Amino acid sequence: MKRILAVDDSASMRQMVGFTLSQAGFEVVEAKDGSEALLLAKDTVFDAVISDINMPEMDGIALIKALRALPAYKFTPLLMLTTESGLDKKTQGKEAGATGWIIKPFNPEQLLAVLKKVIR
Amino acid sequence: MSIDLSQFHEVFFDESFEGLDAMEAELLQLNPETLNDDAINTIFRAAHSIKGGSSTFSFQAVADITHELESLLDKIRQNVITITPDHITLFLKSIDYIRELLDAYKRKQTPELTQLHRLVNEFKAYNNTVSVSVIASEQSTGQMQTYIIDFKPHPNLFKTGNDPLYIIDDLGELGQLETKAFCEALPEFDAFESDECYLYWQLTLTTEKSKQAIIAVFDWVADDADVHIALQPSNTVINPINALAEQQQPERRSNDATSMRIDVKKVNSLINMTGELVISQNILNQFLNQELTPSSIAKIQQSLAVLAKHTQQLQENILRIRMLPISLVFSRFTRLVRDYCMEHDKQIALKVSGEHTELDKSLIERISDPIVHLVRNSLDHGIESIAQRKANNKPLCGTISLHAFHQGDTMVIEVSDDGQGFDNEKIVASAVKKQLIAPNQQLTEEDILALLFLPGFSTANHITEVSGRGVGMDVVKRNIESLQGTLQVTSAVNEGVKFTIRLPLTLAILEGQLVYCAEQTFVIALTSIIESIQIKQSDITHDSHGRKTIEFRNELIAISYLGELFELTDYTLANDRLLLVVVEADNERLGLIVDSFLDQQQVVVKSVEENYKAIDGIAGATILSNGHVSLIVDIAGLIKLKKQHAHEITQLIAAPI
Repeated sequence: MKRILAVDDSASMRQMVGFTLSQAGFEVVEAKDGSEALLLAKDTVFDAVISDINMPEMDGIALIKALRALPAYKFTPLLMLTTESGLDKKTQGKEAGATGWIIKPFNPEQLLAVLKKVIR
Repeated sequence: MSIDLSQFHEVFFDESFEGLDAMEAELLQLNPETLNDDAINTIFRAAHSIKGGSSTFSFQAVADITHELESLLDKIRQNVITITPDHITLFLKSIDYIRELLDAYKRKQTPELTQLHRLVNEFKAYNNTVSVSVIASEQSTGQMQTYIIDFKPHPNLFKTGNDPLYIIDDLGELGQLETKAFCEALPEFDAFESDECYLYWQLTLTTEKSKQAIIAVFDWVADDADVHIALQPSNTVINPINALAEQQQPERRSNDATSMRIDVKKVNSLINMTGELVISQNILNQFLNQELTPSSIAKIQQSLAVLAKHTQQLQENILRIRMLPISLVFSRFTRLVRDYCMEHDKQIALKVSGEHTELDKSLIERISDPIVHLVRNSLDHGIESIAQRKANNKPLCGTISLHAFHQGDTMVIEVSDDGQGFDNEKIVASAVKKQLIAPNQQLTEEDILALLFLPGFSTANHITEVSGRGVGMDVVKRNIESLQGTLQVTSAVNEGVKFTIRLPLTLAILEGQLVYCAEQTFVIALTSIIESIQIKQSDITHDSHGRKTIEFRNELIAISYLGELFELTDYTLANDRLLLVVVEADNERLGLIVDSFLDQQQVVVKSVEENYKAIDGIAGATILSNGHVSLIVDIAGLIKLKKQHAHEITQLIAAPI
């Protein structure tokens, strides 16, 4: 079973992403900010990470940068959740090593469709 | 796959209300002159989360206004716009409105939208944006077209986590795809780096989707690959049918259960305790199959003691789950005071301490209104106007303090101000005028302040918007007493007033006195007992209606046999020595005669109303340590019941024969 780490400071979004992915047959671990996610990611190797950008403690960009620097995450799909207005975040994210982005708002079907681009 | 998003609504509402509270708190502390990035970032993040959630869960009005709010915040954050008090006022107004919207959505009502457009326009004036932006062009052209796509990934593509094969697969879903791979760039084996991409492709796609849809497939790798998309000019096929698939909406199930968020630490400690209980139980299980010997009995007793300790700790921990910080109540006052000062000629600072002190959730919800009333009282009648304070040589800025702390099993909340204090003469004059007391009646300082809590009493010369809502101090006191709490007041002229509220930490557990009466065990809350005394038959007197009374601390109080009030038995005073419990509620006292006193113990209150129906004079029930059910006496209800009896008797006497 593929393992995905879902990171968001908003509990409702986190639960929505988590529930959708587990319904689709993924094993999901949730984290509420970048620093919690980084600890979890060091402990267990995930097949993909989906992270919000705007979070207290460590934000999504810093998380992606830190993950990409780890040997175990050199090729791992790292996706960011962003809004239409956050175009500059996409560039920042790509520079940090993000694989791609998912634009909010999205529904579960859209999330799975996007995810298919990097993990099956 | 269809997922019902409504299951996440409750969490969304909770976190959004929390986010709004945090935004409000930060905004109120914000000083445009010493602006710090942290505060703006906190506000921005909360707005951003609410916006993301509301658009995901289709609460469009919330998404619309938070979008504008966020845009303005972003401009402030990036120093494009300098924040002004007007901005803060607009933010605060919007927060109030978003709360209204969320409330409406939560109750599944259609929200009131007139204010939305007004607020959005106000934001737009600052944001300088054109009203509506057109989103995403038509994805389908309705025509079959063939595109030639050259896709040449840069060697580092894999390091972005992307996989060209998935991208090509994705493209295949848009239509009919032919692929041609080129291996020319593959190096000699020695030079081959396993983590670099050497292949490139030419893809021929026949689709009715637009070029934008194709570009979107390569969106993530636009910087990590050379992509060239060209339309093959010749064969254009027209697709006559453009069917729209009907999407069926799944039936929404409502979830109205109230929820609360719990600190993970509290849950962990529960899990720990449960583990301890299981261990204790296992130890006890061992003895089941053994023959009892004096030494094993000693061990059983020891284990039972441990079990009892753990059970009690578990109970305490579970109660703690329901505990929330009083800051939930205190936080709203910053706003109240700020708004009040803006409208009145007063300068008032709010000082809050002990806001992390915890109180049961149900009490938090019900103590809020009484505290609001006390604070409003201080705002309106306590703190003087600037001119008045200047004349009295006091600091121009008045102070209202909210202070909370635990004292044993009691929560103490103090609401105080450094205002003018109560004017005793005015209070007495007003009470005389309202015929609450006789003129020339001798009163101590304490007696005078007690007048404030009499129904229908008010010293205000004119009714104001803030405190003149027709609710008197008597209601505040009664509300607090209904929570088994007490309210005290002290005052000093020109120095201020201090209200002290004392509350039990929880209503789920009660310190009770067990009494035996008419072959029943009843529980009386210790907090409502003034004194338990032994009296003699001869102490009992009768009033003009023939009702039993007794003199207690220079006051004549009515007495009754507890069993008689519940119509369990008629009572004849057989013994010369009687046990009397003097109880008090709503400032009224009553003497209850009982057969005997039993233990004092902590009882867990269970609702009779929920399990059976409401009974006059009964506050609830509990299960005693011997396994029997015992009823908890509702003193306030009992006094009412007693009055009804008295009324009926009076009527009986007054009725013509």
